[in-house]
Amino acid sequence: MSTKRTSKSTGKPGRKPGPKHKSEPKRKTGFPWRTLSAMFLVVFVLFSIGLFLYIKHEIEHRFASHKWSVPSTMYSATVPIYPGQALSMDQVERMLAIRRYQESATQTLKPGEFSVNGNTLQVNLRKFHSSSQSFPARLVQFHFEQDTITGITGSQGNVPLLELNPIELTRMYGPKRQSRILININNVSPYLINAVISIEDHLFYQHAGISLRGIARALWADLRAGRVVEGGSTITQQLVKNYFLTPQRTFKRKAIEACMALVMGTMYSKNEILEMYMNEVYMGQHGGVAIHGMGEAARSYFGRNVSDLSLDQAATLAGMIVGPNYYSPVHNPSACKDRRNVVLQHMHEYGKITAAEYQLAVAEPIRIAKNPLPIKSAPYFVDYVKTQLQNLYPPRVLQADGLNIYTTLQPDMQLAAQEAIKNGLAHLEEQYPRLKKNDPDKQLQAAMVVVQPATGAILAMVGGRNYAQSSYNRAIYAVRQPGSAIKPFEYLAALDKFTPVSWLPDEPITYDVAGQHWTPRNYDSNEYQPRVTVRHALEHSLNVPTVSLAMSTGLNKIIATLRRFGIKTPLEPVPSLALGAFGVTPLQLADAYATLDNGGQRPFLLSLKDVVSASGQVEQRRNVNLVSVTTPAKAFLITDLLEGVIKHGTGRNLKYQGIDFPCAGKTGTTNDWRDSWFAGYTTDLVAVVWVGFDNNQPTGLTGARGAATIWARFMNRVQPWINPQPFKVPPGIVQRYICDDSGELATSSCQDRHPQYFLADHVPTQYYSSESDDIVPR
Amino acid sequence: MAATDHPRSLQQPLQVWLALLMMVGALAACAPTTPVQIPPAWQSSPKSAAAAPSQKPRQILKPAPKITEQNIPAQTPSQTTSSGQPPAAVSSPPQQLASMQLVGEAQAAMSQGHIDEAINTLEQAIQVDVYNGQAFYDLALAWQSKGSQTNALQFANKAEVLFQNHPAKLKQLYLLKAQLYQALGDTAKAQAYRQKAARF
Repeated sequence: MSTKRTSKSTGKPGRKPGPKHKSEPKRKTGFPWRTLSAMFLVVFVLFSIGLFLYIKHEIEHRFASHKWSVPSTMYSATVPIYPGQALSMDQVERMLAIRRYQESATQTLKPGEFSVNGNTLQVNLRKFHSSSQSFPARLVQFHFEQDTITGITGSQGNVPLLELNPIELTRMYGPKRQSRILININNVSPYLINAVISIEDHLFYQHAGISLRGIARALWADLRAGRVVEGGSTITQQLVKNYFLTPQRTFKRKAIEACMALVMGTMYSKNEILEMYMNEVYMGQHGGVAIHGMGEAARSYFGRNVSDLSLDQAATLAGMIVGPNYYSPVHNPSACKDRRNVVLQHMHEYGKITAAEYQLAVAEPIRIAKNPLPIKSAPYFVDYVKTQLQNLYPPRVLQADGLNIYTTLQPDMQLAAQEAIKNGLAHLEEQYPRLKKNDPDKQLQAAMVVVQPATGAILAMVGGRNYAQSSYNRAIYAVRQPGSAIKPFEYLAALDKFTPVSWLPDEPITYDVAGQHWTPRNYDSNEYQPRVTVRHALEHSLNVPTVSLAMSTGLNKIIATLRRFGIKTPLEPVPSLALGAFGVTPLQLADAYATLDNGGQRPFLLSLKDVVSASGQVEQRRNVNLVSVTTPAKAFLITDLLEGVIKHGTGRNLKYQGIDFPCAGKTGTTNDWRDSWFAGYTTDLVAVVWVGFDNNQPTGLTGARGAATIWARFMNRVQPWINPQPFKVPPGIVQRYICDDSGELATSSCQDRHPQYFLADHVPTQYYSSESDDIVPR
Repeated sequence: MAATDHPRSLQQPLQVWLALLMMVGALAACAPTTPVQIPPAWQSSPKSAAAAPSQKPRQILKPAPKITEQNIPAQTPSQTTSSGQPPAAVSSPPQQLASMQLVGEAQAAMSQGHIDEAINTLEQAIQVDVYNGQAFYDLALAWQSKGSQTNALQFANKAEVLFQNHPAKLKQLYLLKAQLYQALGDTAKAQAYRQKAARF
């Protein structure tokens, strides 16, 4: 204001120009540098502050909204191992191998390694988490004698029980198919930190996000080449580039990158930046999946947690950053080794490792872990669990939120089930060449469901012989006639009226079904006896007496029983119901048999156990749940009859196939041999097997010749994980000696007599008499 | 005399001790080598069996002594050592020892109020040994403390089958079932189980 006033006054004529002459030249010739500079400075500062705040906001927003897309991971159950278990050293080694443990030549073991010394197997178990517990890495010794674990010892003496880590079954990738295991910088091997810093940015802890020396060097190289040939990026700049920018090499992008790196340097500590970098960095491809981050790379290439990497492994991974696929230890081990040695050299030069360490590491060959997940991760089971997860979470959450999904699958049993189906079907095709079909769509198929009855845990599931050829899960979707495999539940429904020694007629009877005549026949239709006991009828799977029993019991009562045992498919009260002329799935049948095995308490079948968030919060938990659907006494009585099926009934050939432990079971064969079933159980597991053609063509196989042979293969393989015991006699059961000929209570005059179980409130009342000739059927 | 008196005075306690030792030895020899079985509730044999006249008079022979009617047969050793026993038993099957280890962990968790953790561990214990009655019993307790009487009752039912040869445990179990039925409003069953428990 004062300047303006001065100007006006000085413009008037007649006034002394003194001061005016002095000031005018200044106004005309002088440029307002100071003002402009000040303005420029203000604008620059404001712009810088604005840019800083904008970049800061962008970075914060990006990191706050979602740092990384981490696919959810599905795991099997942990597997308990204890002294006294009938596991040989070979079997334990195999269990370790499918969990990606590696044999070490030295006695100094890293987590994930094992060594053998005589009858002792030493393992350094990896750290792992189950749904409810964390298990630290620990060194243990397994001692063996005659294919049995005689002891397990650790640093604190005897170990009564050990849990082997679960197996990763699958990851639920998003559209980008990125695989990543997030790591915490505090858990990263110091070797890896030093290796990455040495090769990528050795002044990382000194600069503020950008390295002027590095930029100058890169600029000089770029100017000489006339184009951008060298980056000179710090780790922070690389993180910015990988996370926010395009990979194009332009000066503009470099400038933005540098600005953002500077801002980031003010926002995060060096260790935080390094952790983000190690989680983000691209580390190559595994099939169609992109490996991101050092956690995933360590697991993928070396089968190790990132905390357990050795010096040479750490240097290998650090060396891969510049060209993950070119320097891949899988695809180009020679280049990988050269690059690793360069990293080691840098580490040595910067004083991160000693000369001795350098020499040792350089001499190491490139060794990678065996192919991950050899069991191809139980694909049918995985599909089954995924369908349940889809009802709980949207796809976006499953693909990006890094959920840990724990299931009930027992991996060793799953392997046994898959092998039993594969080898069993191949053997049947070899034995009966008519079963062999060249068209993969028409091949003989099989399905198996394995359940632990006491908990309802589905331990294994196979939905077909080859998932790659057919992903149709027959175990849960194939609705097939069960044939005689359904009979035990009819006999159970009849126990209020019949005892195991009650007589049933065994002569063809014609029934009137909706105006049509129907005459059921036994499998061997030439053999009929005037009468047979209930026990004999079930053990030998006789149709005629069974229909008679069902009609006498009442078809509606039988349907109600089947419903209580978990059969959900449509059922009609017609006489053929008694012979299993309706559809069930193998899973439903396994449910029903598990109830029988579990003393009449129906277990809720579990496959999905727990879902735990990335932060460790349990989001879903399924507990063991039982519902009583019949009395323990009735369930036991049917089990006792089904033991007879295996001892001297339709399943008697199983004893020639290695089945010499207490078990019960029932064969099932449908009209024209279209379906071959076997449902068998011990005190600790139920396995149901179906064999047939998808197009319902006859197989010519009975339950005993087809499904039972696969069942036997499976049971022989899983013996180390089961402890078949005699079935426990529950309250409400009594035993009487019975005269075989009459089915009456035995006396001393009876020639052939055997003990027989009965319901306590339903016991025969008449004694055998040698003079008796008019025995009344009961 | 004095010389003979002295040994005599020594001999008397010696004889007493020898007699006592022999008695103890005899008692030990008579003791059962396997755990004593407590038979389940007596199931009376059908009175009508022998008494009821058949349509045609015939001679009813008395059962020979060795094949007299019997109730639940003697258990096999594996059954008698069901998992209700303490884990220290030398003859315990390995899976039982391992399973009881988990039961111990679960009991510790329960005592600290970590019921969910205890339930998880007990479910594992059952996986290792399906005949671990103690695990089922503790599961019943855990679910009871979570307020789910129905669930608790199911596990108690399972434990009841497995505790058949363990009267002390069976008594505890009957009392628990009485509580559960009471909580479920079934006073008649609650009373019945209290009476069953009182028999021990």
